[in-house]
Amino acid sequence: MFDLRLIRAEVLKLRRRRGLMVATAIFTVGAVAIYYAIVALLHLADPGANGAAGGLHGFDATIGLLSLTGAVAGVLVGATAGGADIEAGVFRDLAATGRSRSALFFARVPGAWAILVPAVVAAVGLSAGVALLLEGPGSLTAAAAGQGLAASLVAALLLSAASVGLAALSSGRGMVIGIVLAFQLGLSPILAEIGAIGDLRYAIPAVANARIGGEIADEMALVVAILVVLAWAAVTLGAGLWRTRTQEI
Amino acid sequence: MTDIAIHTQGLSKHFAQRIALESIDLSVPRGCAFGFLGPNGAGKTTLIRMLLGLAEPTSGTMRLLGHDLPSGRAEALSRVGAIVEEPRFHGHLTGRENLHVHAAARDRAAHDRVDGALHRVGLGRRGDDRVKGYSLGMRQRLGIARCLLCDPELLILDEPVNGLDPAGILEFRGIIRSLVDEGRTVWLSSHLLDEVQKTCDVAAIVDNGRIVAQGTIAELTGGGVRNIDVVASTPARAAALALQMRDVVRTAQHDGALRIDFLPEAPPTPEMVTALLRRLLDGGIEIASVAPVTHSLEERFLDMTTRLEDRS
Repeated sequence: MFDLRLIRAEVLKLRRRRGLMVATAIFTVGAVAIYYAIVALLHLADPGANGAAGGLHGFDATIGLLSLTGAVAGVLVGATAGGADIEAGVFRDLAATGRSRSALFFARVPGAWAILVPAVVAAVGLSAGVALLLEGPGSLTAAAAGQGLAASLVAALLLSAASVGLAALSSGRGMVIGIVLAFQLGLSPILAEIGAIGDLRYAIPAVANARIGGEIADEMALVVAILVVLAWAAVTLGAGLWRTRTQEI
Repeated sequence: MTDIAIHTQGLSKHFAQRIALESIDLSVPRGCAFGFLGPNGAGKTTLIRMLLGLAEPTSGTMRLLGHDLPSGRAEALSRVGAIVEEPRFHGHLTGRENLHVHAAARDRAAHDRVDGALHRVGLGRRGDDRVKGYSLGMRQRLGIARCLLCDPELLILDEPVNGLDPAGILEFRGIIRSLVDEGRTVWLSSHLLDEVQKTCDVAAIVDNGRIVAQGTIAELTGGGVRNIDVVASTPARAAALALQMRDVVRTAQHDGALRIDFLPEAPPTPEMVTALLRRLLDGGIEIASVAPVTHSLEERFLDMTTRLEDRS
């Protein structure tokens, strides 16, 4: 199902989009760098009022930031990977080669991840490096670093996979970028705070992702969080695959 | 290996209440340039989309390069290069990169054919430019190059000369003929009659979703000459004498000449024309010129197809 040549072609299509690459760098490595720069400057300006930038506290803060900005990068890359062929009118020519439409579809997910994983890993690596280098409350441990990396990757990769599916479903990326970001950044935090929906809030991907990052450990089992993330990925990718396989083009 | 590249039987495609294609029976021989003619909206692209697996037929059967569709689609399409409507590419990639993206969906050897394909269509020097800077003609040529990546037995080209200038059309015609000379089959879908007549060996005419004629270009244009134009000193007397001949059915004035129509089953042979002229000369008529009348594909096309105003 996964063909390396198709995946390489997806990576090429994404890598050549200069604006997308710049945005991905800004929302991952750039976000971490900007955070540390601001906190360090504030600390230098008034050490009494502003704590030191580094340590476990600084690392946790950047991981929290990355779960938002990395998700934005994931949506941008995923939606582009999922919708670019259809939007450019190229998918018809690819399907006319006789190549399985499923293979063409599934190459987009690892293609998007091949762009995102190095960016997120670099961002977490930068964060860990600065957290160790600069003074700050708490000490960064390997376990905390691993948990932070996992949470950042899950946020970016889940939303990129979901965006691949939804972009294929809607045959375009613009609307998907808007809807997914609005859901992730606007609606999810509100839903998570509504007590009336009870345990349903654990089905929100952002809540499950927070659990993977080590939060709300007393409320939600890790395995449930992982299942929620997988279920969202399966539903959105399944919808995109169905559309890709059945649509007349 | 079958001698037929494409065979369809009873092929139909309906979109809700609208009939796009109805009971299409078509045979395209291998190793020729096949013209698929029809007015806009006649169903040309719909048929191509079904052959390429981009749309499903409502009923009927298809065979492509000896493989039944849809069961043998992957094998068949692995040797088919196609341009459906206008060739589309990723504008932010270079021509070469676009071909490599397409080659990734083909067999491994397709990547090795990229440079050769670019050179063959005259884009060797522009292959590393971004496609968004290409003219329509260059995109058409890049589309042909993309078709060549699979070393195709069959090329399906949908309106390939749209947007080309006269020099580009001439060059394109040369490329098509060279592909046919290599033993490949080329399907040329077009509403440009002159182009099909000049490029193709065999053609079919589709109108309102139905095949109304198919055969060699000579057959479609009426099997050659059926009339001759004679410029005579006394046309009225010449007409009277001509009508006395057994195979002449009608005479009429046409652009200053006397047009003499022969029976459809008895086209004018040199012997018949000689006999006619002898009769006219013996009758004291002076002959200024004699010219055979050939029907163009355009005339036959307009005879057979529905004009836009007739459809409503």
